[in-house]
This record gives sequence, C-alpha cells and structure tokens, in this order.
Amino acid sequence: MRAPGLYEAAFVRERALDMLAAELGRDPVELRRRSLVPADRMPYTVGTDIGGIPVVHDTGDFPAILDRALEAVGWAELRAECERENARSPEVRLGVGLACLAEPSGWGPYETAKVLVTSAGKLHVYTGAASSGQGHETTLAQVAAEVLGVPLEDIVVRHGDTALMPYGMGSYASRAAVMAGSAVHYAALKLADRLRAVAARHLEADPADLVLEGGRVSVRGVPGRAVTFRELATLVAPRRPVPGAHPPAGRAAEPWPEGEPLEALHYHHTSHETSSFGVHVAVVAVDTRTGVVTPRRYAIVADVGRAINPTIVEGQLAGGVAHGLGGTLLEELVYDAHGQLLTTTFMDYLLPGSADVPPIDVTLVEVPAPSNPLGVKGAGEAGTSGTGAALASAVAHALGLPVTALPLSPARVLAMLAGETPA
Amino acid sequence: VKPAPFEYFEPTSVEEAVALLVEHGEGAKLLAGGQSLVPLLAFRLVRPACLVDLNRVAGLAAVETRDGGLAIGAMTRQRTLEGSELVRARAPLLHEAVRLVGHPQIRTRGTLGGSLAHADPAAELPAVVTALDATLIAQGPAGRRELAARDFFRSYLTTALAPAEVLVEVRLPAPSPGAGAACLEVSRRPGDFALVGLATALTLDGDGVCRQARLVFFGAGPVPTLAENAARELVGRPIGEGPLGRAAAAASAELSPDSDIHATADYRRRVGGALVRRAVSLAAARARENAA
Repeated sequence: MRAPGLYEAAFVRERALDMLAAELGRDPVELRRRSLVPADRMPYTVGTDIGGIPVVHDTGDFPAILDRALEAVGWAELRAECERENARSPEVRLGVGLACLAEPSGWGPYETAKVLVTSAGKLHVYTGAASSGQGHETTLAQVAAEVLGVPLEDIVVRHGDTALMPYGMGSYASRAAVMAGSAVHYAALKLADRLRAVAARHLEADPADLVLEGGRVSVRGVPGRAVTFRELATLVAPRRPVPGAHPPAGRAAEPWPEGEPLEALHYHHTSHETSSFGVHVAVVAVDTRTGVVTPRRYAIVADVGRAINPTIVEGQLAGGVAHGLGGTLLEELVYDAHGQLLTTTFMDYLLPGSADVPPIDVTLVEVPAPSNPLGVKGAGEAGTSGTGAALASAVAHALGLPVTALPLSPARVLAMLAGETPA
Repeated sequence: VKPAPFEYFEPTSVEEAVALLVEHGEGAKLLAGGQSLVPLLAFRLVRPACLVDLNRVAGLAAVETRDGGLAIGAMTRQRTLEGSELVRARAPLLHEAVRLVGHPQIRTRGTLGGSLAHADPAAELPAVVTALDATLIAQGPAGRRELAARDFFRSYLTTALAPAEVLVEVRLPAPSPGAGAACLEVSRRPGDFALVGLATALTLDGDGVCRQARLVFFGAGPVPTLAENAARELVGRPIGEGPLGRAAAAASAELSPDSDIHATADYRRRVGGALVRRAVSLAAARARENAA
C-alpha cells in the first residue's frame, strides 16, 4: 500500500473526528474547519518530529482547500439529498464523507543529480531517485530544461543505475520531486555556469551577458552571436579544435577550462521537510442487502506547492485514489489458521480495475513551498492516504454506523449491518 | 508461467475431434475459447497430454431458431450471444446473463459450450441453461445424444459428458407467453466470478399467478443449484411481498454453499435470499410485460 502509516493514521483520526462530531451533535465539516491551522498562522510548527526533524506546515490555506473540496461535489446539497433519500430506508443507501490530511513530504537527508552535455549536444540527467512509473523521465527533464533552456526531446533522464549515479536514496515518502527535483535544479545551475564560462571565452562575451535558450548559448540581445551545446561539447573535447573556433585550428588546445567535461554534480541536502495538504471527498452507494460498497464519485483537492507537470501530478493523485480504493474495498492479505497466506495471486488478491474506480475530480492548488528552489511539495501519496478515511466516512454517513475497520468488503459491511461485527 | 508441454491437434470436423478423443483417451482435453483452460494450463493446474482445438471445426457456431426456440452451436462466442437480436428476443435471460461473464475481451473468445463443459459452479451460463430447461446435445463415437441441462452438471468442474464426447449444441425451448426472467449476481469486481448469483425464470398466467418458477443459483454449491423450496413458495400465487419473503427465506435455508476467502457460506446464504427478492420481482415485472 502506498502512503504506509499515513493511510492508517488518517483513517483513525478522521473516523475519530466524525464520531466526535456525532457525539457533540456538530457538523463534521465545522469541527474540522475549527481544527485546521489557519493561513495566518503559517509557518506552523506542529510540535511533533519525525526522526528528530520538527514537523512544520510551511505554507498553505487549509480552510480554503477544504472549501474547494466541498464545492467540488456540492457537499451540503448532496449530504442533505442523501439523508432525505436514506430516510425512506431504501435498500441502497447513499453517503458522502470526507478526510483532511496534512502530510510531511520530501524526506531528507539528501538526493543526488548529475547533468552533462554529451558530444552530440544532448543533455543527460542522472538521478539517484528511481522511477517506478511516476514520470521522473518527464518531470526531471522539465526541471533541467527550465534552467538550461534545452528542448525536452534533447534530454535523457537515467535513473536506477548506480554505475551512473553511485549515491542516491530513491523515490518514496513523496520525496522525488522535492529532493531529486532540487538536486537536478542545482546541478543544472552549476552546469549553466560552466556552459556560460566556456561560451563566454568562445564568444568573447561576459558570462553575465549570456542566455541559455533552445540548446544554445547566445549573447543577450544579439541572437546571432551564439554557440550550440554541441559546439561547446566539441570545444571542450581534448585536442579536438573546430575550424574557426576557439582555440583556432592548428594550435594546441588550452588545458582549461575547455578541457574539462561539460558536467555538474550536486548532492542536495536538507534538514527539514515540506508538507502538503489535501482534502478528499467520497460519494458512495451501499447496498444494505449485499454489503457491496460502490464509489460513485471522488474529489480530491491538494496543495502540491507547485505542479512541475500538472498532468503527471493529477495522474499521480488519481492513481493514488485508485490504489487506496483498492486497499479500502478489495485488497486483503488473508491467512489460514496455520498462518499460510491464501491471497497469493492476483486472482485472489483483488486489485481495482478501471471499472471499479469512479470519476475522480482532481484539483491542484499551488502555494509554493519556501524550503526548496522549485517550491514543490510532495504529492506522491496524497491521493492514497485519505481514501480509507474518506470512503469509510461516506459509508458511515450512508449507514449511520461508526465504521471502525477496513477493508469494507461486502461480507464485513453486511456483518456490520447485522450487528455481528463491531461497526 | 508457461504450460507444460502438450501435443496439439486441429480437427476440422466433430467426427475427427471425437476420433482424437478416443485415440488419446484421458490425456486429451478439448480447447474451445480457452478462457478457463489456458489460465489453468499456465498455472500448470492441469497438464493434459494433448489439446484438441475445436476452433477450426466448421458448423459449431450458428445461432438459429428451431421449433420456436433456439439452437445455438457450442462454439458460439459469448460476445456473439450478447450482440444477437435472436438471443435477445428468444432467450432474454441468456442475453442478460452473458454480459455478466468476464469482460468484453474474455467474451470475444469465450464460448457458450466451453463455459458449460468447464462447469465452474460460480459461472453464469450453466445456471442460465438450467433455469431455461435447455437440452444439451453431445456427440460421441456412438453418435449424438440429448441431455437435460439439469442432469448435465454433476459436480465442481464435472459434467455428464463421456470422455470422448463433444458438446456440440444447446437447445433452448420456445419462451411461453407470460414468461419473465432475470439474472443477478454479486461479485467483488465487475467481471469477476460471482460470490453468489441467481438465474430465475418464471411464468405468470393472465391473472398474474405464478405457474412455473425455476430459481437456479450459481456460486452456491458444487453445481448450479435449483432452489426448489423457494420455487414452491412462489408457484400458485401472485408474486407479492408474502411469497417473496418466504421464497427468500426458503432459499437461504436450502442453500449449502462453501466458504472461501471472498465470502463465507453464511454470506452467500443471506445474500442468496436477498437476490431471490430482487430477481423474482424483476422477472415477474418482465413476465407481466410479456403477458400484456
């Protein structure tokens, strides 16, 4: 399960809040609104720590995100409509539930990046993070492109290879964009300086007057005075002078700076994390005769700091919801009395397919994080961590039961309804 | 995983297929759409010495009217049944149920006869042919014979087919006036085998009195299970709250399903009762439409 710990903690906390609201006779939204850290208290030191690192909510407007999530589904009207319908005791009951979560992300202490220009003028980016489908190849290329002005098609991102990048921590704990992204950013800045230095010598210009754009370094305001990355790569190649280029043909190459490769390495360190905030809203139908829970709609609003690639972030969040929905409704490790695992194939361990996932409405909010150069906050787990809590909240609303255990399999829901299992 | 090695034959006639079955005996297995057999091969849960592929046998995939009912070739793809106007008009229960079988990709390959001969007790089609009182035609070394669907399914994955027989055709009787049917199931995900399901076929007379009721459960025992006590609560009465409740209770009591990791026996009994209420109500509403 993605978001280990976060998913479970959110479930317990949000169920407790719903139960407290019921106990106090208060609206569950109001109870949360009163408890959320307001924007004017940012940065907010929570008072807890993770491995000695204090948990700080750096930026964001939590109550505003809550409001946007409620608006996304028309919360008040939908809740009232469900309650009206359910009052008629239909076999299929409807429920709407929510979950709020602030999530520490961008785990340190370090991540690594190396960027280099190949002799063909292409940009290679090596990262210590390792993608398992999160799109690092695209996102990290964008980060490098933003600094170096290289077209994306000229960038190759390589990951998961210690022959290229001996040190690295990896992609987990919603850290890749924050940590690997920052490492690539800083490495690209170093490489930009180096490219300017070589180009300045070649173009006889001040490095400060040079701009990087379209895979070329040119003199600001004089686009004709330019040198391509490929030419720069040739310039720095030992004893491979280009006719007419510096140094002139036939003369010995100068040992520096052109004799050094066009590459830069950066180890990005941090002693603090950033934290993202999101609100999940789930709409479900519960068949009281079969126990089947059918998600009807899902909305998630998340402050991701800055979305380097919004399509990827939306996909991450939607995929995270699907993942969490599987954990909430379908997936279960079942053991027999002797401790033998029974769910050992995907015929028995049920993953959600496209037909199991309802329409997911993803809204990204961007309040940049001050603690990293990209302003990003971790988004990898935000889609998963609130699903158990939000779906259970919706089932609780539909059935008028507290719902204190997962997964919500048909058998468990039916047993809860019959009072055979503690709800 | 890959299957264990096997010999492979592609007969072009039923006679040739039967001859291969005779020749290779118990080590031979028929391959129809392969939607159950191929995964079993891949998991090496079965290791037949040879496969006799029926896909090149001509004349096994027709859907025709016969004696007012339907004659459906055993190799007819489930997807064909789904799209057949003839099936929709003459066997609406089959039309409804076939859409619950797997996913479109599975139905595109999977066949009616393959599903019946495989005889998975959680599958829809064996229950449907039982509910419709179908006749199954098998061809063996001694020629053809007819089997009633209710006698065809013997146990879990076991049928009345002799080792050298091929299921070649399914005959469905003509629907009577006032007939109505419904197939409902509960599964963990769309396209999964049912935790429990019910195929029901009713006949109502002009006064709305139930004259005939066949309630056949799937996923509730080793074979498609006729809920006879439940049916008795319905026959001779108009379908209403009282008979529905009694039929549901009777069905829950008479089922003896197994427990597995996805549902307990108790869950299946309880939900089986709930399905009786829903499926019978739906079938009765359709029967009234047909009578009108």
